Amino acid sequence: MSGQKTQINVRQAAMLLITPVTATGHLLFVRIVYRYAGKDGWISLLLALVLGGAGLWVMVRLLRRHPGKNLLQIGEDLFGATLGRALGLLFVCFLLYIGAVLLRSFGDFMRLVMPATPIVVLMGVLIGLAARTCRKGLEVIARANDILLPLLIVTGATLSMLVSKDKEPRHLLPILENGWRPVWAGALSLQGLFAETVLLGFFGHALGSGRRTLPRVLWIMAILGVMFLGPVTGPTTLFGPASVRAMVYPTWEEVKHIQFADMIGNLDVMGVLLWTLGSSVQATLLLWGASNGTAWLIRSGDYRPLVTPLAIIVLALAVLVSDHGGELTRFLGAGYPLLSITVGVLLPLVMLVWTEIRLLRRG
Amino acid sequence: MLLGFVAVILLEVPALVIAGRRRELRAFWVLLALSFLFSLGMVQRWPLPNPTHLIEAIFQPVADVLGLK
Repeated sequence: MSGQKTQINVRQAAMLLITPVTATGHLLFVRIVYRYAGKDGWISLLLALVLGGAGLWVMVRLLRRHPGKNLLQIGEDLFGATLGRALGLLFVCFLLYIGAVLLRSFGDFMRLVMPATPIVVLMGVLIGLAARTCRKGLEVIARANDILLPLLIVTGATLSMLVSKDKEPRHLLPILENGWRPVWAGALSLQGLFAETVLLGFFGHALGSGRRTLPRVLWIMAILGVMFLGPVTGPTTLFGPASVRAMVYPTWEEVKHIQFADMIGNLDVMGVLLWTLGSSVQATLLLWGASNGTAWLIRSGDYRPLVTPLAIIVLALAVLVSDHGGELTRFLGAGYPLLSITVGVLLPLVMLVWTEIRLLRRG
Repeated sequence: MLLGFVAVILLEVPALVIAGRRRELRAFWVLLALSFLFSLGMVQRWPLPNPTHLIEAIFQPVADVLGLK
């Protein structure tokens, strides 16, 4: 990509996809799926996994068809230098933009915990950390994620178990009380989760090599499904569907509720820890993708000098992307999923179809 | 803010100049100028365009049809 040989294996590539999707999902999209589908959010999740799985399959299939190449190189191979570069610039801008949206959402969340600290400082710390890690290279990010993701999973599962005694599964009934339309809207809104699929086009060569595509995609989707089932059912079974709709961060409210054996309580700090770690991996990856993409666009062999200026741009964009918190929440539930589908699924699909047509022509 | 930008320049530029990597240096200056303009706009409260508004303008009609509001 930038001239540096980066080697991560299939497991690491899959884990690097799972962490950002989970971080964004728990922090941002759980409330949105509740807003649309309410207590039927788990059905929206299942539908979203099918749609997201299709998008992931397209990306992995595309990478398989172009072994050893990244999304930008594939674009140039297919559409020529000018159009390919324009497409590459679009992908880079997309990564910078979703990085800014993530950073702003993280800042908005952290303001609840530290209301006296200016949001620019909160966001600056995260993007600064991301820039520092990004310069170390993909292998280091992948190895850090090897440690962080199991930690996130174990902590999340433990918190979920601690609160399970207070849950009332009957709150999930009746199923489909308001029909399919809100459930479909919830499933579509969850597609914003899979915006990070584009990142696979930068580091997912390993997923596109070796064995068949479908089993790998199914494995990733199954893990994501397990990781989201708790957040899309837990708050409803704990607080009831009416209360959950009014919550800004339902899963955080769930964590705050934990009181176990009169000894363990005030675990909201664990929620902050989970989202901070997840968001830092995600911000690092997005910055890595954007700086590598930019380096490729200028035909440079080293992306590292570009990391800091791009991090500052992401920080400035994060201030710009939302005039107020409600605006971003509305956008995340409407325009953002469609942007995600367009850039993360439709464009790679066009590239895959064009690849297949070229292969057929060649016989 | 200015001190921050000076620090970034001092950290990055000498190594690039010594290594003679002019292409990276050019890209660095362009991106840094862009980030400086954005940052100055933030501090001076210039009416910078919000990219979210542009994306909403493109996708909102489709979102309305699909019931995403």
